Amino acid sequence: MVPLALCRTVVGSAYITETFLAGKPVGPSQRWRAISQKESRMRLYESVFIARQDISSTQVETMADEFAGIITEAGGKIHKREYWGLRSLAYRIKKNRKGHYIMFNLETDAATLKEYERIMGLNEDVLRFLNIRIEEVEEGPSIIMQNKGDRGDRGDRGDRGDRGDRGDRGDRGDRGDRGDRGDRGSRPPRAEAPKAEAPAEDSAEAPAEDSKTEE
Amino acid sequence: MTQLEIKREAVRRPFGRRRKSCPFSGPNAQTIDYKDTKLLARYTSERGKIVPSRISAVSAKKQRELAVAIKRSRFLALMPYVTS
Repeated sequence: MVPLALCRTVVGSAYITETFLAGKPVGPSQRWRAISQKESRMRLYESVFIARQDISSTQVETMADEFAGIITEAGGKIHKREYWGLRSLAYRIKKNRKGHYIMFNLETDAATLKEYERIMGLNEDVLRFLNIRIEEVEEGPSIIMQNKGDRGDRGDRGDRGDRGDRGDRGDRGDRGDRGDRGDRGSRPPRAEAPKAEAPAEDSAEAPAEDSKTEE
Repeated sequence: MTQLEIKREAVRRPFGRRRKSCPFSGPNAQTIDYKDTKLLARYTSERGKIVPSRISAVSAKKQRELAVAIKRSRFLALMPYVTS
């Protein structure tokens, strides 16, 4: 049975625990180095920020350049950069109903990211930002960019583009026998007799209308 | 209360419904991403609540992941917190 007091010193002090586990003495300075190494370790992050709706997209780009500069100047890398465009927000943020979305995939250390977040927080044009750690940079454009074409934003529908050739419609096939139309009975005599044949002639060209008239 | 239970029994019995498997587990499963609002919207109610896993048949592990993704998506205003 180990006395409780001893237990606490072992558990409570990281210094002693480390010594126990590593089997060699670790001084405070070395521990500090371990922490600073952790801080300087390069990791992958995904960063999204939303800029105010009433700034232009070129201004957004310069803003994004500025933020990217913080990372690259500190020795980080920007792996991917996406401009999702002016999207409508699901709810109002600081009286804005829309916002410019920018996404980065970046590789940086924790200290730089902290600085990056600090500067973003100070910028009044940034409504919101989210930085999360990722394990790997996904290849190709993100889902938002893939969906942009077919769904887009409700505000600006943009150009619909060319619809392309619709191709040959193919043979419509035989329409089969129409069967006997039966006796049409007697008809009062009329002057324009040839008009009775008109629907039958049309049927070859306009089947939809034909079926209507038959019903 | 009792009526509701009877009704449920009646629905269950004749078909012997099997438990659906998790849509995010197994091979060729979709990946959960907070950016994929179309996918996430399937696991939220009309009001924007996260659907419990006992209804959506998502495994516990993936349900946790899903919940985080939905919350991130909400934070970035890609999805609503409430729809009224």
